[in-house]
Amino acid sequence: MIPSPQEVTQLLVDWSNGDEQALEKLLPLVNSELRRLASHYMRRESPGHTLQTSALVNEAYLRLIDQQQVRWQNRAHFFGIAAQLMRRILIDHARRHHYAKRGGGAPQVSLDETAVVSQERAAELIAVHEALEQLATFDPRKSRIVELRFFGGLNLDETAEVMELSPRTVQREWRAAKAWLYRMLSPEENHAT
Amino acid sequence: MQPERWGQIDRLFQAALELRPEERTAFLEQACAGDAELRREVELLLASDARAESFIEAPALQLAAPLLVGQDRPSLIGQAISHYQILSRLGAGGMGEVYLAQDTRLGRKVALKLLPAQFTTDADRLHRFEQEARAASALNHPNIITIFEIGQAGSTHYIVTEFIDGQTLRQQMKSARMGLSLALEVAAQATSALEAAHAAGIMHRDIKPENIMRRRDGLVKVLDFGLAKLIERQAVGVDTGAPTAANLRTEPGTVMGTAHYMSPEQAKGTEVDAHSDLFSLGIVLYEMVAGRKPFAGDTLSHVIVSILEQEPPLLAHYAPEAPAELERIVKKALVKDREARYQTARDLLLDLKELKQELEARAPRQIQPPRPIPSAASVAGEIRKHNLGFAVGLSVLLLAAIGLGDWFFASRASHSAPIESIAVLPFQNASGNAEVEYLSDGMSYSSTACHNCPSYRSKRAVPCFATKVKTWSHNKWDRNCPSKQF
Repeated sequence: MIPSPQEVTQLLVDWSNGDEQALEKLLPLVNSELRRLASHYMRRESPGHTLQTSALVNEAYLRLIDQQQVRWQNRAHFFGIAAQLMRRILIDHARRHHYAKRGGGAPQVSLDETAVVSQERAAELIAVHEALEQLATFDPRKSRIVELRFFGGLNLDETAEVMELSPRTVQREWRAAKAWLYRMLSPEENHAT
Repeated sequence: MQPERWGQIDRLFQAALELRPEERTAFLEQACAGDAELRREVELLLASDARAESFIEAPALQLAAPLLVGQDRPSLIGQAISHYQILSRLGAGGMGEVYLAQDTRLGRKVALKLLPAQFTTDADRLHRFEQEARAASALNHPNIITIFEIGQAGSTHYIVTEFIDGQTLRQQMKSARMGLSLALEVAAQATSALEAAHAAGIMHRDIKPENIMRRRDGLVKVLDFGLAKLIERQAVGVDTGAPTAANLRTEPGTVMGTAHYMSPEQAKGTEVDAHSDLFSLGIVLYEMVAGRKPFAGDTLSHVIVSILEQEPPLLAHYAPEAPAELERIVKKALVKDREARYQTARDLLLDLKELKQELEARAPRQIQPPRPIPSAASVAGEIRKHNLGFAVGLSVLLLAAIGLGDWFFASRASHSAPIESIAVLPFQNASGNAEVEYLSDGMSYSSTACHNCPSYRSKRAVPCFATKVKTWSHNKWDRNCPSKQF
């Protein structure tokens, strides 16, 4: 049975208040919605289509969430929570994929191309996630901006709204965060921190 | 990193970004005031910034899309596409999903392949693909799958081909390593398919174990001629119809081609010709015999480097039974320089056939088992797994059969878990000597009357005794003696 948007919203609020059981109920719902979105990507994915991503993610929120119930003053909170949730789900997927393919010391009998690409993507996602955790220890604001934009799929203006910052500040923070993360993820660089 | 230190780096980074690149050095020299470490940190950050333009600009969800799909896709089973009723899913490859379907007009079973939409949205690309598929459909060769129709229903493009009742080489290799003679037989038939296609000016471009099937009766069919054309990218003057390393990297969400079976020219993204197919087939032959790929690697890049630069390990390293002549054939197929490679499929085919004949002449009565003689432990494991209904399809050499008794006892001794049941198939007297015919029947009786193993129930395949055939294969067993007879 598919719960109503009100119920989903309530679950999100409960989770943000520390109710882990609410998360258990949320995950399958959001998962199936994300899969629908993902296959949407796969169908129309071609250079030039990437700009629609943010719109698509918003669509997912709209479908899942009762916008009336999420009142204006809660919006920032809500998007913050939603981005966290997305991050958690995507990293879970990436980890499962990554370890399923590589783990257990099993010989890699059929490392076909699909697996190679997916595996590289899974590894990349996990690497970004881990570097972001590190960034959060000394610059939580930048880490959160990346979480909202990269994992939450929000655009610059939405991120600015949620963070209560000017778009210009968000842009500056985003650029510095990107440069730092990129450096962390580049194997050839010296990772002195 | 300390937040204060980071704050310092961040401020200088932001300030430097406001300046023109040529002004930054002087600025940092002054601003860092001899703090070399600080300066280095800011410079590294600026260098990363210059390269990080598109980095994480696309949301994570997009990056993760290939990980998310492929699970819980809506089922097409039971639905109809044009006049094809979809019965079951046969599998999925880079080129789309394949279904078993019933052609309701002609009343026959067909394989229906749905092309992924992301490859068919470009009308130009689709047109070239259709041309290629039309050319391939004109190929009339027993070892090439027959294309019945290329069609479109709504926005879905599909290809209908003959349904092949058998397994792909990938599936075959997964269940057991292929014997030398079977590997040669399969390679020869596949080469024969390539010979016919190349003569018609058609290249395959994506030869790999997933694209070669072996029917239950042993006939080999090469699938998907020219389908690799679908992934062709816009390129001027170069035929990049085949998967290339560049494609694999840049095509978002790409699910095609297989790096492991690429020729060096494909890996480099240069022009591809018939030699390329022969290289890929050489890889498949190597894998069938050695049980592993000649060019391995954990990542796409490692595989490609291996294809471009490394010599594969000798076959004999993994398959001591591989004759020197096979070593030579594989080596010649896998030469990096295509001019030094086999020049035509015919040359390769002749060498394969000659070797096959030579091996047969050397061991006239030897029949290659479809599966290696399994270890006692693995047989016991399988039998436990499948309980009573498991039919062991063995083509047993007489010599191996003589050792069978020991084999059961060894299995009891070395295996603490009890064997609950065993199915004993009739043994084939492969010696050609009628005087020892009694042994083949006697063996199956004596192995069922195993006094040392009181706990297992054994059943002889009595209903099938009359069907003792010359080469006793798994398939024949399945057909003649369905396991429910037990």
